[in-house]
Amino acid sequence: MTTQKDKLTFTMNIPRKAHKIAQQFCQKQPDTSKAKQIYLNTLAVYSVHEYLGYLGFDTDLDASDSWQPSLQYLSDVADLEIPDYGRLECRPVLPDGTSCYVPPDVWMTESEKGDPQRIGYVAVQLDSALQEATILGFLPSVQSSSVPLDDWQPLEDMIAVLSKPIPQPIFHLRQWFDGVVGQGWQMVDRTLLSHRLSPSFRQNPSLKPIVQAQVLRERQLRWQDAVDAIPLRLTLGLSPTDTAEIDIWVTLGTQDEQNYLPLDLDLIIVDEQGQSVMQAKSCGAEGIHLQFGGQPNEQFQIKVLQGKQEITERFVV
Amino acid sequence: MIDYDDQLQELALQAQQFPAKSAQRQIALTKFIQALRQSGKITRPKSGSFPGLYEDIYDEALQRLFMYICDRIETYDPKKGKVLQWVNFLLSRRFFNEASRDILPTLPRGVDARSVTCLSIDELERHDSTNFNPHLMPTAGEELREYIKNDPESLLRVMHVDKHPTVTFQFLLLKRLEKCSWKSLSQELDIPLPTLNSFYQRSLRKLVPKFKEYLS
Repeated sequence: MTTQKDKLTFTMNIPRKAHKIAQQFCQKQPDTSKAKQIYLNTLAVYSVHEYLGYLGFDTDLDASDSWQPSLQYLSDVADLEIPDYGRLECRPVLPDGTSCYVPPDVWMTESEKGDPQRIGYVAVQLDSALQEATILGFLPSVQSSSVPLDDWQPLEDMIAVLSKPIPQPIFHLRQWFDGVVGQGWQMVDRTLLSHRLSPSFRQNPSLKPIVQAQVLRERQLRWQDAVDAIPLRLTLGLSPTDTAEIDIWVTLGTQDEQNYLPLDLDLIIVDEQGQSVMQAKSCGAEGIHLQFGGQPNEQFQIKVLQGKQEITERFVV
Repeated sequence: MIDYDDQLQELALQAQQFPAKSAQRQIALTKFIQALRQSGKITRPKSGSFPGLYEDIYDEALQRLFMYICDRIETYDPKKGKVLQWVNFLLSRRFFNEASRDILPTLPRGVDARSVTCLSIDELERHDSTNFNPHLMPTAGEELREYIKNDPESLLRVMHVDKHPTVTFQFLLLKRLEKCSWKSLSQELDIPLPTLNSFYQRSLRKLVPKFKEYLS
């Protein structure tokens, strides 16, 4: 470990419990080299779990692929699930190793790129007696099966990622058609909704009414620190079209139907590049309504702004 | 000769300066725990007691100690004593006792702790499956292999790589069980490695509940 001298690393005893678990996993494994792979992966994952535990980070071994016998058997996985953040891939490094092996099995797949669920990779060097583990470094992404130990970034980088506020979820709208809806999105009563919409909007023939959307969901929006602010309600409507595109309706109103929106409120749709593509001011109306189309895999954000306050919801079609 | 007391005190006070849960504090705590371990001066309370179980209890006690220290670093007061006094007091008077109380009663039901040896890398390489599986039951892996070969519900042979109807999930599973590397498979089939791998991982994830029935 001479090359790592000036970088922050963390050396710890591998708890006996980690060996017990590794041996349980290997009981099901007739093949010696596969057993070795599972054994070392288990020790690496457990060590990172133990270290993060000291620092008060929650981890969930049982929710990790590396703890699923079938995935251990049919793939080469060493991930550790960190609730609300995603997964860290903890790859074992042999005692005399000068590089860390990262199998293609755990490279970021095309669909995972930009997915916050994959936090990054951690290299964990084990000693030959398997009594000690050294957490050597971190990389946010890896695209090669052998990463020299010198190339790993210091532990500070991993801590910085895990200390950021919990990343906001991205809602996958396609799944909403299958009833898999993001947390906090409630069913909408269609009759109540059509009553709620202002008469002018209902009569505007150029817009397809949101009430006809195939999927309708709403959620309450809360400002971070304004106690007396009027609670807002964001309603989303989705319908498939003849093409791969889907129709998206966005309606912003107040939670209490008697109220009007604050005068200085803006509703903005922001595209993948961070450009605002649609914008509407409340001007004290009862509600704001927008409609647009979304292409598959297109990402967008709905931003609600009032003064210095901002609420952002992220979506992918 | 490093003066551990001074170094540890400096690191503890450094950690105290940063707000709880901030990245700076977590980094300072990492350095602090690292230095504590390197000092070699963490006590081993009641050494020699609990034969066969001592290491399990000690592991547990250390884990609780480190978690406590990281959570409550601000409770360290240099006026009351040196860091090692504080740490060793917590370990011997509190966490070792707590750990022994919690670990001992779980024994009769759980795996016999005494039978678990920590394997080294050499031992792992020499190990054959009978050591892990002393009862010589047919391994669950064989059942899974059979399931994949026979594919009774025709699940695995209908899933295939886009535009390559012959490269089915079943084909890839069997190749993987034969330990074909992704690289050689990619060359053999003339399909880019990321395409193969991405399809394989996606399919694997879909079928985890199914595989669980054959490998629990």
